[in-house]
Amino acid sequence: MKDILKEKLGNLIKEIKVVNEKRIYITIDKKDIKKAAEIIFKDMEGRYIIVTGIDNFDNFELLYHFSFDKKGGVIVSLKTFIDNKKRPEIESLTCLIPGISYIEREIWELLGINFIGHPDLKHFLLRDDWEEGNYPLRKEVKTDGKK
Amino acid sequence: MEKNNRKKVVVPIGPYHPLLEEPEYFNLYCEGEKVLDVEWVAGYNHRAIEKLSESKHWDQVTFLVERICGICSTSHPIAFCNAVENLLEIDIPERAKYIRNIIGELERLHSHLLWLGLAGHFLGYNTVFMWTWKYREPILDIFETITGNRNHYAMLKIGGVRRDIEDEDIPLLKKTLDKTKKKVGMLTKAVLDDPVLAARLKGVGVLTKEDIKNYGAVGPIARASGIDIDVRKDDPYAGYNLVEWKVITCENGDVFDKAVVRLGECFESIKIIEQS
Amino acid sequence: MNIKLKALKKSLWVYHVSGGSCNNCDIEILDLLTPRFDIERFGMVLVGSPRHADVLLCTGIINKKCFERVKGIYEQAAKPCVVVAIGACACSGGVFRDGYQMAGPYNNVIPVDIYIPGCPPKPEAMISAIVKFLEKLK
Repeated sequence: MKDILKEKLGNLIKEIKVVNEKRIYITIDKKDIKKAAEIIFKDMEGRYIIVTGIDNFDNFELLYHFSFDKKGGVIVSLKTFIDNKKRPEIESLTCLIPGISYIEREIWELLGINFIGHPDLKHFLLRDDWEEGNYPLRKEVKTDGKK
Repeated sequence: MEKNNRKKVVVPIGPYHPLLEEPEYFNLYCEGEKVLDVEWVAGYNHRAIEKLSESKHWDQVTFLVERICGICSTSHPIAFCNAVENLLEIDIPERAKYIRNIIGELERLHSHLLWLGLAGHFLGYNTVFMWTWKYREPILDIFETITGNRNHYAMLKIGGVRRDIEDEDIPLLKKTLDKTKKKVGMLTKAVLDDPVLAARLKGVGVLTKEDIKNYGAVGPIARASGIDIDVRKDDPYAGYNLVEWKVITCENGDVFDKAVVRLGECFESIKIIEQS
Repeated sequence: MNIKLKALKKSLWVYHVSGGSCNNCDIEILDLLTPRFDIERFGMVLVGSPRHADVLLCTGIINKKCFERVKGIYEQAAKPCVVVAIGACACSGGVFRDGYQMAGPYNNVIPVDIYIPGCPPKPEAMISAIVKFLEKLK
């Protein structure tokens, strides 16, 4: 599986890590994420699972998870880092995978990452008049929502 | 979503509506009785679980995660424990695998019967509702005997299970399963032959294979549209690769097929539990 | 005792309010209608509008998103109205007490008459609570 991925994604890969036979993590530059996702979703027919976002203290990390169910249940995760914590942004993949729009709205409102090109970026889980700039899942915000 | 809808009527449902169990908001764009589009607003049930789990001890998170949903309350601890066990590369003991099988499948049984009852309730078909929930009660009694509670039973722990199933409870389990099998068989025949249900459920809410792929749908919804995926077969966890069972799929992807898939899975669940 | 309270004792009409719950207490409430516990034999019916309700069965922590609506529902319900907080979440916030979506347990928002703790409370507990309340009314 690792070799097929290396062949298809070629020079988009910055680093590829095989944790065990079922999980492969591929680090990609954030400007290449659309091309890489297109190869995995359309050409290799991976099943889109979900996107997760993490607040590491010095950057944000986004993981796009795809699964190859019939090839042994392997999960391939595309990892990108966003270093600009003051104005984090990345390209939206909604035109490629329509179902990704909900999770991108959630990541926007809980972590503050702007998705460029998203058709409808508005509040999903929080109130519409939630305090601007208060992103609850960021590490500097305490559990009860206060900074 | 087209905004040029002069003939269409917008019906807002929720957040509080006699049908709904939880607050949810749907804006239905209807033409007569046909629903053409839905706008959905979520978030009324968001309880900040991810943030809360950051501040809790690792064993407390299993209890917290159970309370994401009261119906499928074991599936979330299973996912959490599997994830942590994969990260730490722990393999759980064999008896624990079988116990997780049993608890998981009993939960699937009670959840499918609940779904069927609620489907009947929403259609106004209260007979189906009353009967399926009556046959769900023996399963909740088994849970109470084995684990101590009817719903949030906290059987799982990272690295195994919290409590054992005593040998003296097993005859009760077998007796109840036999009874449930007969009753589910009766319900299946009644539901599948019923002209009212067929008229209301066939051809409604069809999801094509393209839709399933684009939105990443899984579970009985994907299996009702003919896609053969089941994480228990493709990437088995717990003891699913130690027992014999099969995946049920249907062709059309409408609500009727989703009912058929779920009823079929009830029988497979009973098979898995008996083997475990 | 005035006639309104006297009328409350027979055939209570219940309305179910969920302020962001995990659904378990809600399913246990629906369980009360099913043939095993069957509160319909006492005349208790689930109604579709708060204006018809004598009893409000409240579950869940109150989410910041549904905060005003829950208040609105309490105002719409015809008085005298009995408010029952079902479950650990409704009584005190339960496990979600410290989160950022919590707008306070029910007694911070509307006056509560009966508390039924448990996660979820068994249907027998709910029936026994209502019976105790009816005895107290006498």
